[in-house]
Amino acid sequence: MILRRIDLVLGIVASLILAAIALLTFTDVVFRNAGTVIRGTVELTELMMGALIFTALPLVGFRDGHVTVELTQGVLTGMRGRIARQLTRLLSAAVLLVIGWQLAVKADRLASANDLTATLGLEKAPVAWFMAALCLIAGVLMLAELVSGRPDVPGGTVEAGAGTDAGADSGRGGAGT
Amino acid sequence: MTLALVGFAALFIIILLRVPIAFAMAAVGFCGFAWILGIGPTLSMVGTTAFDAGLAYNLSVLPLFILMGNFVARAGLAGEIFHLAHVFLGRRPGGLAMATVVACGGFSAICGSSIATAATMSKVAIPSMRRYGYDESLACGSIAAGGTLGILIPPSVILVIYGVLTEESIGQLFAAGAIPGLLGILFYLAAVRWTVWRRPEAGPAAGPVAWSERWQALRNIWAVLLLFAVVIGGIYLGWFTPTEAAGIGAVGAFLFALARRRLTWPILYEILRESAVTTAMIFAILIGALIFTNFINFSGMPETMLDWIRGSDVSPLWVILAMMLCYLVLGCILESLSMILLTVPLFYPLVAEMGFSLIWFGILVVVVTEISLITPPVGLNVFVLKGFVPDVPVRRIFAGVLPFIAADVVRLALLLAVPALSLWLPDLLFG
Amino acid sequence: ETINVSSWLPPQHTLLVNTLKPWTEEVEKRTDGRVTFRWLPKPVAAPPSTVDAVRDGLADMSYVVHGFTPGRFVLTKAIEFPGMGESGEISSIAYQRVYEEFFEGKEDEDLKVLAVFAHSPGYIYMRDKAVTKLEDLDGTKMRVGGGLVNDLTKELGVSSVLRPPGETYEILANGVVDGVMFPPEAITAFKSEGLIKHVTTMPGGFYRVSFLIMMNKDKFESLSPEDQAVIEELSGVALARSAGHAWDIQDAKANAAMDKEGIQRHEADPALVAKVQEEADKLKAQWKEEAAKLGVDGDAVMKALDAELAKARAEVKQQ
Ligand code: NA
Ligand code: NA
Repeated sequence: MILRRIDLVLGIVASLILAAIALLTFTDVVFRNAGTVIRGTVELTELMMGALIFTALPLVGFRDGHVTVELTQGVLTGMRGRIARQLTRLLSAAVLLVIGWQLAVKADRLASANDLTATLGLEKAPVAWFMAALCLIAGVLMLAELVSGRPDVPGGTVEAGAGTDAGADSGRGGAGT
Repeated sequence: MTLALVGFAALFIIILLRVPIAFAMAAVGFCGFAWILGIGPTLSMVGTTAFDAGLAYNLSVLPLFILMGNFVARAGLAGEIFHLAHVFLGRRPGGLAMATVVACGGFSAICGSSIATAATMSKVAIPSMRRYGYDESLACGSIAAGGTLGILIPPSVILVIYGVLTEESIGQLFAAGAIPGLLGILFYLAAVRWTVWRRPEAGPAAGPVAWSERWQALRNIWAVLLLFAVVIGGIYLGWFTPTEAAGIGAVGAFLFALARRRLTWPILYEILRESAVTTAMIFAILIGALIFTNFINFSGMPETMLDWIRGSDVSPLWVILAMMLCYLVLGCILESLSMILLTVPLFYPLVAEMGFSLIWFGILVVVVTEISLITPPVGLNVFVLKGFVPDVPVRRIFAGVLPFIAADVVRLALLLAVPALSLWLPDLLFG
Repeated sequence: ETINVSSWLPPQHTLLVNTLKPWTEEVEKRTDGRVTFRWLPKPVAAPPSTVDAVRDGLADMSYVVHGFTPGRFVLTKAIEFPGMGESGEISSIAYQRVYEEFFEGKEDEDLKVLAVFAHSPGYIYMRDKAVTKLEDLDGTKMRVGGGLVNDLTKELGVSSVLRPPGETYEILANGVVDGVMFPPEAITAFKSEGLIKHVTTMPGGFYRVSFLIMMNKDKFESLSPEDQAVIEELSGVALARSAGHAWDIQDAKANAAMDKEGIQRHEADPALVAKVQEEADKLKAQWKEEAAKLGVDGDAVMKALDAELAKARAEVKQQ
């Protein structure tokens, strides 16, 4: 229940940021070709990219959507498979939590050094704080999954693997959605 | 050097234990880096790497090209391309498979991703080929292979990443991909012909089509052509940069989907959300790979390789060949984006030092990456197909893909031997 | 001891070839190989994160543009104003001396600063249109880097387009911008000499960019006193001068290449120069206020810069 609500909130925020990046790029080009330049589009895009990626990061974990090579499914079955699965989640959560922690350290550094963007002079620290928070949330959600011990729910993962090469709507491997 | 090899081995093992590739690379990179420099600098490196990758302006093309592809798929443009190819090519033996290959090429011209191309064309082409009794391995093989064209024919997400890594012009890389991409279509057509020549029952001819229907199909294609012309043409006419082209394409594709009444609020949300999630997934891999390459950077492996190549007497072309072989082997198992992120930073300074064009090398890298998408045991495009045809064993799909892999290897050799195939167009446009 | 060097400029860049590589070799020689340098195959961080990377020991030595992290470095804008020296060498000698007197330890206390320096004077390079008067600049789209020049161009009626340097060729070729502001060296570094038809100069240039060459503090302090002394001796004015001069060397080649392409040279007319000075003075006043907050007397700095520039000019001429 609460998970579904988190999913919805993050989904909407991520969608809005992505739409904003697309519209900003589009408007910038239109205005420039009409002779006016919007100041600071590059740095705005950069800040929004940081926010977008980390807003959507917990959503990737929700559906076991991280790209995984599944060649050993036949070998790791039963109890051994479950243990392997839990260890995998533990490692993933650890990585996310360490990155989140260090992003917070970075944010603190940016704030105390008063790092600004080049054109508009925006503070970089708030975006870094945002990235840190979302990365930590992704880590906590991964831990929650470990504790609840949800069985393997490959979101349409097929027998030997799933994922994308920088792909698009088939992000869920062969989900066929 | 030893440390790097241990790192690579550890990476492979935990990837095989089904740790997501992104986290596997991050974890191994972290440990290796800490082994060399200690824990303090390593923690700082992790935070800095994640922050820098998140805020990279030139990578904003990734979400935007992905978004464009998703809008285009929703607007039904893929179906129109396939229909056009179908009414012109369907009558020949294997004609539908040929139509699929050509349609994949056409769709690649407005979609930057191979997986997306394969997924979209599966939806469109599989039902037709099943209706006409096509052999399933030929049907699936042509889509899985045709889909790989998505990252060679511009726009291309992988070429963008390569351009960012090597600081080469993305516009020139796009231009360089065009002719090899067309060659790819021709070679794949030949692979289809060869398959139906050996087994005519694999691809029975479809019924005749009236010319009126062909004209109709041609008239329907204008939307695709317009979008391609705006996105690619705009780059060369100086309306916008390749980075910005993705934003134009995304908004343009949105307008098409809107005009065709394919959009409701829930669908719009779904497209945006899916694109955002895919973006985050790619960036997770990107950040993991960057952490791992930071470890390799300190491991001494690049210098050892450089010394080894400088010290040996082999001709530079052999070095390139060795690199390609390395890609083919790695590509069997590694996911394509991680493969590029791991290897290109190691290889490109060498390639430049030997006096080769990095644009040409970029095209070679993308072609081998295409091959990696369809080689067993881990061929992502094949798995995408599998998602659409759950009843067909993966083994059968890989069997169908084999002639296309052969075609790819021949094309790779040709591109290696004749750099002009890659370099003529960018020289013409930017020279 | 091995010093890991992280470098984000292309390996054939003048700063590396003419200054930093020879400098590291000299240190190796003078310390009898007790201190060696290892150039990492790949930079450890994006340019704006390089200061933190060196501070935290990701790399032991690197260099950075102060303007990459505006807000963090305020004082070092002093050298970026128009007219601060007619060559990289002259600017850098004067700048390093003023830095030692006024700025040292103020904004970079957690780094071992080896030298600060400035590149050669930056000019206006145009694709199609010649610029000599203020009106010519009105509404032009110009690629500028960050830092002071960004504020300056805004006041001159230029629409500044800030893009990563790697996109320079592309945006010039495409006409996304009408021109760029660069020192001559950068035009050839980005292979853009074939795209430029006009250059507009003014005495002492429209701007220059402030650089920092630094080491990790702990790493430096871990060296033996005599090795530290060798590095100290080769740093400071000597290193700053060499770095500034590296741009002058490359500028000569770049100017020759551009002449070969038939680029037309123009001088900014007196009205434009006056306008540039007027806007620069306003920005200087702003800068002095900010400097005062950091406990630095801006007027004294400017006066010292003038004096040191004159001195450096004489020194360079003498040789
Ligand atoms: Na494409
Ligand atoms: Na493969």
